[in-house]
Amino acid sequence: MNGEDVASRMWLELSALAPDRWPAIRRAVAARIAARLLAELDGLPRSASQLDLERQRRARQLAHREVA
Amino acid sequence: MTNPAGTLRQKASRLLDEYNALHDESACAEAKRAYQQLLAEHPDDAGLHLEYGMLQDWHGRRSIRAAVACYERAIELDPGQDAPHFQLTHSRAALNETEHVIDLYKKRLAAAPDQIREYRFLGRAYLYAGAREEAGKVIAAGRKLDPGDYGLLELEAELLDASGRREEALAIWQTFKQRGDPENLEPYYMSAFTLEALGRYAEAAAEWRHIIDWHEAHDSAMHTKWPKEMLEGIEAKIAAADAGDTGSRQA
Repeated sequence: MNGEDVASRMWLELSALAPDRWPAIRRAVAARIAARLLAELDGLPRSASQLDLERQRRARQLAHREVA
Repeated sequence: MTNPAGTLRQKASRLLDEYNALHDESACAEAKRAYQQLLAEHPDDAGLHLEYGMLQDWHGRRSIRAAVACYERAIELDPGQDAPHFQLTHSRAALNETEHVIDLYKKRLAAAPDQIREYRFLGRAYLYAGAREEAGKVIAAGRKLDPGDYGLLELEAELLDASGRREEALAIWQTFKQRGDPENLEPYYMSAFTLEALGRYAEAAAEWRHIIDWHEAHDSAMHTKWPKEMLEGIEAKIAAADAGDTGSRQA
C-alpha cells in the first residue's frame, strides 16, 4: 500500500466517522495543502519568462521593419 | 515606366507594415489578396513567401488573442464549465503567454483550495508552460486532497509523456481504458501518440483503428478523416520498417 492509498483510506474513514463535520475538515485540510503548495511554487526560481519571449518577438517584428 | 509587379509588391509590403503596426483587418485582407496574386505570378520568390508567412502568422496570433477573449467571457458567463479553461490555457500557450494563466489559476486555487478542478487547471497551465517540476508539485498536492481524481491522473499521464517516461504514461492510459468512460476516446488517442513515439507502430495502428471504428459506429464518420490520415502514416512506417528488415535480410 502506498502513501496515496493510505491517504485515500484515511479520507474515506474520516468522511464515514464524521459525516457532519467532514466538509469543514476537508476545507481546512485543503486550505493548508494549497497554502503550502503556493508557497513552494513561489519559492521556485521562475523559468524564462514566456511573456517576455512574446514581447521580444513583437519587438523584433517592429525593429526589423526592412523585412516587411 | 513603372513595373506593375513592382508596384503591387510595394503595395503588399506597405500593407504588411501597416497591419503589423495598426492591426487594421482591411489592410490584412488587402495584403493577403496582393500576396496571393504575387505568389501566383512568382511562385519561387522566397521573399514573397517570407512576407506572406509573416502576414498569416500575425493574423493568426490576433485570431488566437480574440479566442482568448471569448474563453474569458465564457468563463465569466458560465463558471462551472471546465472546457473554456482548457481552451484558454491552450491558446495562451500558443501565444507564449502561459504566465497569465499560471497567475490566474494560482489566485483561483488560493481562493478555492478545496476545489480539485483548480489543481487541474493550475497543473495544466504549468505543463503547457514547460514547467514540469511545478506541474508535478501541483498534481501531488491535488492528490493529497483527492487521491483518485481522474483529471489529475490524466494530467499526470501527459506530464510523464512530456518527460519522456512514456511507458508509465501508457500504463495510465491503459488504466483509463479499463476503468474509464467507454465514450471517452482520449486514452485511445493519447495511447496512439505514445505508442508511435515508442516505435510500437502495430499497437499504435490498433488504437487508430479502434478510434475509427468507434466514430463509424456512433454516426460520426466525419471525425474519421484525421484518424484515417494518422493510420495511413503509421501504416507507411510499418511498411518502411518491414522493407528495411527485408533489405537487411537480403543484404
